[in-house]
Amino acid sequence: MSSTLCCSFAKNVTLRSSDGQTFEVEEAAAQVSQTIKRMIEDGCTGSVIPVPNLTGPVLALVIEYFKKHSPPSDGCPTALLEMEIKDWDAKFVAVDNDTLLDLTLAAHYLEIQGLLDLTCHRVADILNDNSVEKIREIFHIKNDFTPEEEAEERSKIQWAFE
Amino acid sequence: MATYLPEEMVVKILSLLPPKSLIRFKCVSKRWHALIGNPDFLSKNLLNHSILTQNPCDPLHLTLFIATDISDPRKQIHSFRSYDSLRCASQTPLNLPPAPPRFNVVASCNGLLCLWDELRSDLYLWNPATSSELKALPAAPSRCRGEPRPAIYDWGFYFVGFGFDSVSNDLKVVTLVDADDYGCLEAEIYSLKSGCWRPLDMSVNFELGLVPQGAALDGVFLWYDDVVGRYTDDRIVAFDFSEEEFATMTFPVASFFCDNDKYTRTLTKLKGTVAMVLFPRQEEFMYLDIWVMVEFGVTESWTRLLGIELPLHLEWPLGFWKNGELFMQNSEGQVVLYDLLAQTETNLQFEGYRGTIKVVDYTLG
Repeated sequence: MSSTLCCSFAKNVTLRSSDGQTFEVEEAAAQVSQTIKRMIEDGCTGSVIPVPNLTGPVLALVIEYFKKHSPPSDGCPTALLEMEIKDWDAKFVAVDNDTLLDLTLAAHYLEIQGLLDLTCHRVADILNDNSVEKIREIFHIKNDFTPEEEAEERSKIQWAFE
Repeated sequence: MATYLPEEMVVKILSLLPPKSLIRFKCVSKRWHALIGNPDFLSKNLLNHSILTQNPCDPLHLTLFIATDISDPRKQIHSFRSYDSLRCASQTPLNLPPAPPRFNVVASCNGLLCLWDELRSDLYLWNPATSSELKALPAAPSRCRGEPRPAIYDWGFYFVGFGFDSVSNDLKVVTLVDADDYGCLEAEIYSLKSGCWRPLDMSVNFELGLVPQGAALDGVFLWYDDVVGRYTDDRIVAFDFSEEEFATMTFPVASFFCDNDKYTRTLTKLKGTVAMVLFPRQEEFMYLDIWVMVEFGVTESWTRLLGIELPLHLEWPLGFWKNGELFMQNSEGQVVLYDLLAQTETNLQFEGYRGTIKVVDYTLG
């Protein structure tokens, strides 16, 4: 539970998840999140930054994303690097559905635009490939239509099911 | 862990779906039904969707404005614009050869424009990139039969389509001819590869009264059949250049407008889907209703995109631009671009005789 609060030159920050796990990450990397960036600017460095909406495992994943997407120290990103990041991104969101939704929510909460676009597109792809029943399962949505209502709705848009 | 996404996230994700999936997911729950059923949400989705799949900037993709010259009705004027910016594409020295005034552009395909002299019923092909000359097509066999008729009475003869047959890799021109003057249509097809006309079997019967101006869409050409009664649905006639077959489909206008004969229709293309623009015949008010056929050939999939009141000086829709903005002719015969969602207009500095302006999507071959 302890965090290393040394006054080193590397400029690290410590993030704490909802279940109390702490993670040390470079300040520049953590600023990929607009929410954390604002907190750092408001002087939260030097202490632990709480991230109450994220559990440890999700925060650990988000930090992986931070590290991959922190601005390169040696100038402009090259086309090769961009391609590599794109590949990495695709693998990063190839996770089970619940984790994907957790990441989507984390991106929303922490205002990480790149991750938000990435996860939303991935979720949309999954939706597009699945049936109505499967969508309810993935999104944990209760079907509140009566069987009669649902049958009627379906008959109105039968063409969309073909 | 069961993650519950807030509504704004659900909206963001749903807006990335293609329209057909989106409409299917109305059945997921009442909340989704209300969200997707909201016309505003659906129009934005339909307008936005293909932006995601759109090709990046292509310097060979142009937009052509063409019209009769206001100061000299015997002349045609035209302007090639960059498709992406609508700025003048000055690097392409494209000149229309001296041409008769009643020229109409049928369609463009693979770098070629098919032009049609409405007065004399002659057809031409033109490749603006390589030639300033028109190539006249040989006269169709049905034109060579019987007594020659005075040109002025002849204009009702033709419905012309132009498109690409991806199966035999051939460009084709199809014509519908009122050969006997009694409304019995004959179809003929010209193949660019063979250089010949052939008669076509008509699998469906049409009445006369098709609106000559059609719309081209990926290997299919569509005409809107305006033999409408007040209480009947509209018919659309489609020709497939690979199958060489006609088919008809319905635009269920009578179900939506009890006085549908008060509206003029323009059949056009909006981001790869067939769109119908309805606007009033009378000029006291300007109101546009835009519909798209989400699933090609399926009547039930016609979806109302939006209905919008326009400034009075915008007179006539000319077709859609890349993100769903509408080209309109204004009361001074100028082309303006109208943004349907923001309701703003941009004058595109092209002026022609009112009613003669055409906007054509053109890709250099």
